[in-house]
Amino acid sequence: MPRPAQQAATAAPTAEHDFATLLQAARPRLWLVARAILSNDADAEDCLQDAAIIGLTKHNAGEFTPGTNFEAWMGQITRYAALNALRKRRPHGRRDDPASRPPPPDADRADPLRDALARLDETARLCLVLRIVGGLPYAAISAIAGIPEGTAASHVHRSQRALRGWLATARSQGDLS
Amino acid sequence: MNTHRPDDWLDLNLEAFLDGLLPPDQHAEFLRLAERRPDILQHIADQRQLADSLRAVYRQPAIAPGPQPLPAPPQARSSILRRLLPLAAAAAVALVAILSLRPGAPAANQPLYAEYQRQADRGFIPDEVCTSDEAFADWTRQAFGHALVPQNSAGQPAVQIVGWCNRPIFSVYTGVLLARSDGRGIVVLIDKAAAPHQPPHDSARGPQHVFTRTVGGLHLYEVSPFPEARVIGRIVSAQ
Repeated sequence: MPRPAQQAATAAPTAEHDFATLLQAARPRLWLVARAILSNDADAEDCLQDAAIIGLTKHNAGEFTPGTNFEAWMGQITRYAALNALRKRRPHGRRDDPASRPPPPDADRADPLRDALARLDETARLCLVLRIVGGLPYAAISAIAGIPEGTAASHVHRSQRALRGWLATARSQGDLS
Repeated sequence: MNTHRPDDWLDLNLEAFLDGLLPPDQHAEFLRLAERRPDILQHIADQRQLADSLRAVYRQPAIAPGPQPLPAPPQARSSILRRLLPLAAAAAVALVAILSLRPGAPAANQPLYAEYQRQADRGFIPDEVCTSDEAFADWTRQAFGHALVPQNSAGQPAVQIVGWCNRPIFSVYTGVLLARSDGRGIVVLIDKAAAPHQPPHDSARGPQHVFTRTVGGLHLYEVSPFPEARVIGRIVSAQ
């Protein structure tokens, strides 16, 4: 009989887990949440710091139940922080209407993929990035984005179709090696 | 009535195929279909290229070596907040210092983390797709001189053996097994050489968990996002 696999030293999250340890483990996915919404690295890093402070305050106030999904909980906090940061950038009273968005900055226009990503709705882009780059299952994406799993899957599929259109265009223009 | 549009069928099956979530018989059937349908082959190639491009756009920058300065905390509006915020800010400074440091992962495990990241960057797409337990046994027999097979484990999380490739990590014989569970990639390095000078060992520190096991003289190192081993505990010597 083969020896049983040796277990990791860390047990499932419990009340005794340090907030920083949980946050460090979740950091790569949380960064994706912020980056998907805010579209540049510097703003994503700032958002992560803001979300960390908010999360730590809520954690110390007992708002996180140990043993539950820390990544989904912090993912929602990060998403709200990113959306707030995005709202502050937009003209006051202006609803998010893709057709009325200003054109992407010149740097994005030089990169057709970034241009195409910038034209996606934030929730669609978030679902796409968490699925393709983060490799998260739809249940986890649903918990972070606050939408049903089927809606998250639809966002991913439609975004992929839209971006595959970008690929076809870029290929025909010789932009891809 | 089937309300699925043809695009939905293709998207759903394409995604499941690329994620290695189709049962082996359906996976093989989808491959055969793709070989007859150039448009599906193009879709597969486009999807892989899109995934590679997205990973390049959203590659996380390296963490700076020192603590990052925190923004100044907002003015407190109440006496309670006035007491809490400095504590939260001080704790957050320590937290950012922790986040700025590289994880204290064992040095011997670094090749495992590097290989995991490499496979993640490639979308966990193997060089050779696993079509059956027999194919897995054939690969291990040919690569390592000892056949292994995966066993089903009732009550355990489902695991899909996606496929494998060979990479000279610990020796020229090191095999890299790719698996998926709950939609996330798992990498298992297999080697028949005697344990390297600094063998990897079980660890929960570092970007992924590491688990080790020896079966039939072969060393198995599982690199996983999960806090428990899901693959190497199921692998046994073939009869």
